Amino acid sequence: MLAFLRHLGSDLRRSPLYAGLLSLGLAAFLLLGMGGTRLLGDDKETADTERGGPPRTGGHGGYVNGFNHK
Amino acid sequence: MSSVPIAPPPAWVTCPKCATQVPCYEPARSKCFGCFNCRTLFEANPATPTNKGRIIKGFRKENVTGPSLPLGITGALGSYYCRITGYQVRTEQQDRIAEWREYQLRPAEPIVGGDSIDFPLQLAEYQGHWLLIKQARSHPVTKGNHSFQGKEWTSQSTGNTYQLWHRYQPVIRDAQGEFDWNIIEDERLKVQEFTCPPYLLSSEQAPKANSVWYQAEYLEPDQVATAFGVNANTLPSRVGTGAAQPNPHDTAPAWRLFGVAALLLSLLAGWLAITRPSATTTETFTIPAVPAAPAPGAGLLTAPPTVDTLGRAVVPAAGAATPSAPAAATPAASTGYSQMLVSKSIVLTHSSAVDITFTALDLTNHWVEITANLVNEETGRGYEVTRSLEYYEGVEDGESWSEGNRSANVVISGLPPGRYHLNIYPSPEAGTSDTMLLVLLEQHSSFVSNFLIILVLMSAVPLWHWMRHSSFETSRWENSDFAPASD
Repeated sequence: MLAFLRHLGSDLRRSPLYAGLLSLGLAAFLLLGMGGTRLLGDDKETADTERGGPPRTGGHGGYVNGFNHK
Repeated sequence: MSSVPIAPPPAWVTCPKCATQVPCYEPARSKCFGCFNCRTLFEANPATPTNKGRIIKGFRKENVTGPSLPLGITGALGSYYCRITGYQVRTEQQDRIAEWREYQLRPAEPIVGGDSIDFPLQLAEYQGHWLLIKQARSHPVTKGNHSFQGKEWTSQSTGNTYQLWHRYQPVIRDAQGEFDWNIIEDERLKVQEFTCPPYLLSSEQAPKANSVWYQAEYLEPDQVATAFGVNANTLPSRVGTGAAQPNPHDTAPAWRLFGVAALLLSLLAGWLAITRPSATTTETFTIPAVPAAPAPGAGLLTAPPTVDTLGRAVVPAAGAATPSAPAAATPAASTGYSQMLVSKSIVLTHSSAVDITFTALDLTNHWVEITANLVNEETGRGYEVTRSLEYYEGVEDGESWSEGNRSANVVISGLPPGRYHLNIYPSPEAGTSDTMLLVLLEQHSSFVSNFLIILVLMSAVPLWHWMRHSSFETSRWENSDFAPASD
């Protein structure tokens, strides 16, 4: 264990940039987790956040109940 | 190390072919000489220089360029203070293209109290890659004059594992200087080489004789230049990868750091999962059927739905957002949905994400489009998304088929804490029966995808090191007939 820690200390000195990147990754994961944010596949990007009322269009390809509403 | 001037030799021998005086630094030991003028190998006795020597072989002068380290030069290689006394160019019987140079090293001054067992030493150079060769102290042991047949050997004393690199019989192409044996006899040797960078273990076996083992250690060209005080630019340029050249791409440090970071990442993920619990609600709604082919002007309904400021329907007496009685607004032809449904509320106690899954349980051979609005009941802010569910199946030519999906998923992340509900505006296909819609709302604070993405990003550096390491090893083993199946 002690030998491993010694190796680790040496690795940190040899690769400070990579160690910094790893710290950044850990911090990013923590912040994302705290904020409930998903890195990929978040539909919030495409969600319409302006409107609170009912949708004005809909249906399969805009074709609803026999009428093209689009 | 500064260069040492080439000292005059204590003796000379005369070439029997061209009468050139060949220097001899070790008259007590040397018996075979290579003339640098006519490239003749001959036997002579330095103690009686007047006696004419015996020609052993003449080499072709046009084939060789001469040594890059001058004969007679001295230098300090590690703990060895030595002099270059002989030079050979060798190739293989089976492959006359590859050729390398070997420099005979003898002590430059009498050894006092030192370990003389390492002499004679040799320097070997192939395509700019240098090896210092000495007697091996640890090597495979075989019975009698049997040669070692293994492809791998591990030294008990050092733990180093050597892998078979090459097997060949040497051919001497050129020789200059002095030697204490008839070097042409080496053409009968069968040589095996085993590599474990920076070391190379080599066995030489004459017919019906025991193997003699040598161990070589890789030297950087700068080490050789420094040792002999010559300009490194005068030495042959390095080409390719040497058999015993240490791999400069050490992957262990990056993997160690990555391992520790991956462990910390897992601990963080566990901590987030424990300290930020998730909530889940499930609800089932019935989407009423829409009559087929409505008459023009007689749409489903003409009145728009009654909605509150949050976009929620003014619900029937059962009350808004009650778990057992989903709200149902009046359908509206002008807005394109058949009926508005309101889900139970879900309370987010901390910033998190909501994963919404719509499943139309009995959807077969038709479609339904779901527009949903996740509304923050305190701020009125809504997040509207649309998903289409469609599922078709049938039998064609005796084979059943299906396409589409009865489920669709939405993730809205980074939501501030608060009380939320879902307004659902389903638009079913006309002329179909009622559809059961299952809505699952799950709160998430930490995502497996985040964990995996960051893990993959963090592994990029060690993977890059590993690729360079592997590429180096591939380049090394390109020169061997015994490349391992995998690195």
